[in-house]
Amino acid sequence: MTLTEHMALAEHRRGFFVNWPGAAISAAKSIEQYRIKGRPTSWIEELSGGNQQRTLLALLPPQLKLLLMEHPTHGLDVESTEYIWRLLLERTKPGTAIIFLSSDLEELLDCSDRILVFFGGQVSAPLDARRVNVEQLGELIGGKGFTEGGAHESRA
Amino acid sequence: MLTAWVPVLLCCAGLLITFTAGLWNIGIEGQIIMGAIFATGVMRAAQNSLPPVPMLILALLAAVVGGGLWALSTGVLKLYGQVNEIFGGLGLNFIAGSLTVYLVLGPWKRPGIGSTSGTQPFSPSLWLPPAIQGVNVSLVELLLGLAAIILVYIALRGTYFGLRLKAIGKNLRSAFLLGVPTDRYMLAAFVLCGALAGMAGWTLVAGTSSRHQLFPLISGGYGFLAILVVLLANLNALWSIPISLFFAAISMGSLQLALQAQLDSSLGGVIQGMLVLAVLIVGGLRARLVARRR
Amino acid sequence: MSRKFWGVIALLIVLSMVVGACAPAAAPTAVPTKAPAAPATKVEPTKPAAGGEFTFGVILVGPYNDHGWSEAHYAAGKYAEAKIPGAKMIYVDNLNPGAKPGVTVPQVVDDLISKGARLILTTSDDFKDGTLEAAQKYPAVPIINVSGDQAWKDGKDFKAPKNESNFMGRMEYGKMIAGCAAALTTQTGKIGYLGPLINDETRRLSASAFLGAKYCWTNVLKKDAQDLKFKVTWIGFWFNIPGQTLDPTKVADDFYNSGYDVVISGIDTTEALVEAGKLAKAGKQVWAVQYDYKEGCKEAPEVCLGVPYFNWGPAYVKAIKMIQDGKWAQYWDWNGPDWKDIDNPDTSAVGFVKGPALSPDNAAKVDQFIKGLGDGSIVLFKGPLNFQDGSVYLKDGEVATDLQIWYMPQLLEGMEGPSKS
Repeated sequence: MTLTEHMALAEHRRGFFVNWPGAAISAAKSIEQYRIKGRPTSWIEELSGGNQQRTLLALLPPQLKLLLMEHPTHGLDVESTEYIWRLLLERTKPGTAIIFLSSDLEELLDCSDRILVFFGGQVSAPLDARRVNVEQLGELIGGKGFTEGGAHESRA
Repeated sequence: MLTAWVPVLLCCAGLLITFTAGLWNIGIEGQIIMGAIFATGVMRAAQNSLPPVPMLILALLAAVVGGGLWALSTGVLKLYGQVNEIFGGLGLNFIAGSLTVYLVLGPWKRPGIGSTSGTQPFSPSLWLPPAIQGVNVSLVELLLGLAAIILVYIALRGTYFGLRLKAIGKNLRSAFLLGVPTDRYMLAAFVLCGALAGMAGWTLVAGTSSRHQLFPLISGGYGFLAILVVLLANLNALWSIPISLFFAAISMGSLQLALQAQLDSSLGGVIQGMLVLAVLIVGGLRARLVARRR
Repeated sequence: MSRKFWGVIALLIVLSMVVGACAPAAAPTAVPTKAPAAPATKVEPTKPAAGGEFTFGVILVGPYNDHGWSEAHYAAGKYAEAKIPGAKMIYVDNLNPGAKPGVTVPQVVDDLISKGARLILTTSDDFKDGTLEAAQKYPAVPIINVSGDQAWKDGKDFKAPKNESNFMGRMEYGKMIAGCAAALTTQTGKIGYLGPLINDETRRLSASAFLGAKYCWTNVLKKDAQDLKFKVTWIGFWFNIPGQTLDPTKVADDFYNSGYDVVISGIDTTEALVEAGKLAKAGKQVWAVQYDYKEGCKEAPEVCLGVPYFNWGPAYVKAIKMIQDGKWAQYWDWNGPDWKDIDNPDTSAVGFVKGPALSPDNAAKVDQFIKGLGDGSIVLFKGPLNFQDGSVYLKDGEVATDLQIWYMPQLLEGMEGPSKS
């Protein structure tokens, strides 16, 4: 489907007939706001991965309490990654909480407030992202600090 | 030639809906049959108690209900029984076919006769009159067929209903994530298609040039023909109007073929078969072209 | 772009197919079914044939070459073409919901009349309703429904308009002979009857076969009537339509595999004979009696006891002559055999061709039986005869009228199988 069709689908509240001119306008707006490289009439499958991701963000409802994401920037180039995170962090200002899953340590440290590490069926205590560095995080991921069958002892 | 057109057109209208939602409603033949059975049932039950016009309308409604319910069964089997709609549809086609044989030989048989040939024909007051003298289709049928396809065209292009069906057809999961109640919409697609197929069944018992009776194989392959038409039209409602007319002409034209050239009339079937192959081949070529462009 | 492309391609295919579909009509070369004398250019549509030409249309329920009912009609059309100068048959075959869904008798009549037909013959009981509809639509065109009774003034269903007539052959005699040949040949005393659908016609024909079998079993072979089994299985239509009827091949097989060593065919096609031929090749001692078409035995002559057949030619000629002479009047004919020579193609409406599998001894007995039928010394529709349910059909000494035979409401006592569906 085209970007306009996606916008119409995502924005629909009530009504029977689609307001196509309106949907095209809001598609154009989103394209500009999210810097999507495409036109309202472009097919979503013809866009690059980064632009598809930006479109996805554009399709999210504006006021959210919680946003869950898995590898939100997986496979994207650096520029797209940066841009998408800027938009995501923007969303936290009105109070949207974001929980995301990633295996990119830099991304984890740069973008989050608190980090949880999963290992062998156990969960670490919440870590303050500003007080952990890459090495510590790496050790935790490697299983260091997790006791056999027991809980992680917090170092904080 | 116009005879076969209306039922095919109605089936095309229905199939456009299910195909848009990514559903292969192979069960359409059974839905036509159930429409015809329900219509016949009403017309038999109320033969002497209702004037023709309300009777025909009632029969049409019954046909819509019959076809719709049969399609709903396919949908329910798919969504809640994990039976793929192709297999469920084929099974239900078979049941509907057997049901006609049972009705024609059993409860609805002609007095003293045990023939699968058909039920007692309806009284001529229940035959839809030809649009113009000498034309073998009625105005009601033509309007019904064209209105159906045009309404479906509008619904699929211009309404949120159509847009959501399209989303389901393209990507079920994404549609769900974007807030489309996918189960409900898929069931609705089935029911609407079945309702239209039921109307086609109604035209096959009440239409101007129908046999004015219920008989086995009444669906006449029109449903399958319509599948072909819709695929050939690439799910375009407007294109399916001329294409279905063309196909109806072939299926009726084989009669002329036999008369004009003394060629075996089964040649019509051969031509249709070749068309199917052509569609498949062009479909394959198209897929390759698209792949190369990427 | 891809959508447009796809649309254009689809259109191209459609157009190319239109051309393809038209081509054969324009150049009918190498058409095996056509008589070589017929020119490629046809009678001009809509314009009635001029001069001595007389076009008549025939509607066949099965394929024109089914070696059975439909081929017998096709052959009659050819006979009429040969007998009447200028007569020309146009026909549409396979008019049934299996082969031509959605095509109805009135539509075909439209087409035949637009091609110049001045007489229409609808050659199936299945066309009864459609013929009536067409006859009412074209009151000026004579239409004949073969095997029907709607033009029989004394019949129970007389409602045809003046332009519709009926004719039928007295196949009862043919079936009696068939039954006799079967009874003389069977080793197990069990005869199967492969019935089409159930109606007055098929009840009276199977009953006739039963009467012939019973007569030859008790009067010629001097055996006890109790030892003769005669079972009818109905398939549901005149021939096999998958999904709609029982499969006649399977029904015939079931007969042969359960001790019925002779099957008399009552359907339009040749399954019983073909199956008998296959089983005989496998070493089984079985036979069949074919039906409808004079050359019906050809499919498996080594097991064919014979074929009672219709010779429709003279009836076709009569109808055409009536119209040509301006003497058309509604009629209902039930044409019997010419007892002087039941196989005379010009005079006998029904005949019996003895098959190669009928022993010379039995063939002689069959000839005696035919002679007896012809001179009136053997009358089989004569009381005392009871219906299957035990009620009286004919009192002692009572001979059935045409009405009693034509409208046979039940099978007879001694026959197995349903009288109604």
